[in-house]
Amino acid sequence: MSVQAPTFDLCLSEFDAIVRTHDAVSDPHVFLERVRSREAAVSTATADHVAFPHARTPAVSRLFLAIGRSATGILFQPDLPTVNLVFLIGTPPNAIAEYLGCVAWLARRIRNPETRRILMLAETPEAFLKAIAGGS
Amino acid sequence: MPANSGKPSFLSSGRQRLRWWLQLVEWLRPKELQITLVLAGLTGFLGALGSLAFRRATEVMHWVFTGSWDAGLSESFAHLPWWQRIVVPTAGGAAAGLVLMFAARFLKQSRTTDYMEAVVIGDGILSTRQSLLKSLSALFSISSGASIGREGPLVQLAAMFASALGRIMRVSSPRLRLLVACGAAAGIAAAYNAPIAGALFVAEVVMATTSMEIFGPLVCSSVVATLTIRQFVGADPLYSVTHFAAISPTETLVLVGLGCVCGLLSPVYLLILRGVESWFSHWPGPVFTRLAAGGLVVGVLAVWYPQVCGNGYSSVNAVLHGLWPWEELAIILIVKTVATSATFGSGAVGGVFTPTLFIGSSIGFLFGALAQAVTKLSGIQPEAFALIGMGAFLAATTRAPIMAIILIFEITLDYEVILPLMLACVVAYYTARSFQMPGIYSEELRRKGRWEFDSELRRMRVGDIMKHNPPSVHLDAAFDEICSRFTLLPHNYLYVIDEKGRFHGVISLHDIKRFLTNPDLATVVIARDIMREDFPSLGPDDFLTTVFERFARHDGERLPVLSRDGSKLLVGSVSKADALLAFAEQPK
Repeated sequence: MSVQAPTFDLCLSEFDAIVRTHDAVSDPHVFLERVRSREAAVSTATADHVAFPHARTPAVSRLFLAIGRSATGILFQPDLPTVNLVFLIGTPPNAIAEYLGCVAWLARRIRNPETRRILMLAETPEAFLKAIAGGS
Repeated sequence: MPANSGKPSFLSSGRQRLRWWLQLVEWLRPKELQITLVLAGLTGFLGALGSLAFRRATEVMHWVFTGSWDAGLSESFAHLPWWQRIVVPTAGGAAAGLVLMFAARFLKQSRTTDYMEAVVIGDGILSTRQSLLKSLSALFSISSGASIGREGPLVQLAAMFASALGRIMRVSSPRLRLLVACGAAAGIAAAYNAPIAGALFVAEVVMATTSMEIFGPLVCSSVVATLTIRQFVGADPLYSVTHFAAISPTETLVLVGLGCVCGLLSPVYLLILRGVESWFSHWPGPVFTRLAAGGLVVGVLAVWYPQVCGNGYSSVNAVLHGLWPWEELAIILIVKTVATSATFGSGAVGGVFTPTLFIGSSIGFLFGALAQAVTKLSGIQPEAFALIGMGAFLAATTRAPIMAIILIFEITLDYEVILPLMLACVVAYYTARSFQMPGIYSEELRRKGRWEFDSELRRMRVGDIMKHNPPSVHLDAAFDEICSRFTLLPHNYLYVIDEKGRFHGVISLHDIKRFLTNPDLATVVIARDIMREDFPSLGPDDFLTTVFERFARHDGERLPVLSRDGSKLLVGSVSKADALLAFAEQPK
């Protein structure tokens, strides 16, 4: 998903459309509120211009991942670099290991600057997924 | 990415090794029970050293009193002139009494000195100075011929070392009580070269449970104590007996009769002990005169029967080898019972375990001799019946039949004795129980207020046994901080709290074990992301029964304790082991 919003709150509003249509999320409002409060506690934005906003909540029935890309950057916190890649993750309350596995895998893939560059240049969702999965 | 292909591989293998290393460290990290086992072993070692020191001191004082290095007091007394047989126990009793007076007058009696009291109804703290003075008093009594066992001070010293060790290591109150119990097991094991019986004595008589949480440390302590003692005094069984021949079904019936007789006579023995003790409790003079009077009784009897002196070890050996005709043994049995009652009743410090063994062996021998005369069965050997009688009478008197069976097996190491011994011990135990009279150690505890304390135990609450400052992390603690806490602490759960100390959930090591060394999660994940909120908890005012209900539905080793005033403050934690220990101390 291409994100136009300049801030985290507005970014979430853009994600709202995707979240509402996904059958893994039973209550989008609750889920997004949990994401918002989690981000308010400690931001998930990294120095690599990537963020992993997430929430473990009963409002999600299985692991859920939505990806957003911003060419101009999104401001998550005033004292943090802007974010170009957003990985919104939702998991049910008991899926802790799955959640950790997902975040660890994404973080490992994104750590490489070349991967991030390819992701930013990917022209289609398929190309994006191929790049993040390890394809050239 | 060909240019970087070598570097990630190297980093990856390094991380893999680190992860294996951390998993190995986590696997090898000692848990609470393992730490307790190590302390129990140390307790056994210290208890054995204390036992050796006391034995040596007894030998020296024995020489001071009698001028003899003979192993047995009765042998030494047999060589003394009649007046010295009277003077030595009387003087020894007076000296023992003076020590007790000094202990009572000059040392503040703020703590118990009794290991059973410390384990069952106390907090596990034994006064070191009081215990040492009590042992010194026992030293005077025992080495001057008092008819009392030295296992009492051996157990006392071992329990004292255990209590001191536990306090130095700052263990919790329930674990301190367990360590004192381990000391008692070590004392018995060291006294009788009987590691299994040592552990079983404490499990059956003192703790009233054989739960592995408790029995494991007891075994560890008594085994180490026995191994240590064997390095110095050898591994031979305490009593040498002739081989016990297998018995026929007819002889088995006779053994049932012996069990009944031991069960019937055990309450009589206990009544005599209590009666004499009650009589001495009205003694008008100071304590040292009372103990001197007890010694005088022993001394007067020793003029004609020096066998009454000492704990009865050499007398038991004489009975087991049939050295005395039954008529002489019957008289010695009576005078020994009087001597033991006088010593015990006067307040001398010591044990009645070995004197009880002598009385049991005498009853067994006399019963065997009578059965042999009546039935004319060639298989009935009075010496063998003496051995069985020892166990049966001990089972009936202590109300600990398993310990009695194992003790007799361990001090003879003859397997043939097991079957008849089991039968006689069980029959004696059930016969004695039918009198609705507590055993010798239960009675002692009842006098010391255990029964009055029962209601308190039944009201035992979580706040009494919980540990303060449980391991916790802040809601916003980063993943790398959480991992390092798990690496350093021997716990499977970390409690998650906010800045006000309010409980929010727990992080399970099981959930994050695979990711412990993952650097990619270090700052992205925080405590609130991975905590479990639906975790059972306890309140400080909850009863022990609630603790067990919670643990019945929860596999973890520990539960958090939260304030019940609505604030959900994390105030402590309770482990399953501590709850079991507290429960074990409740009467069964």
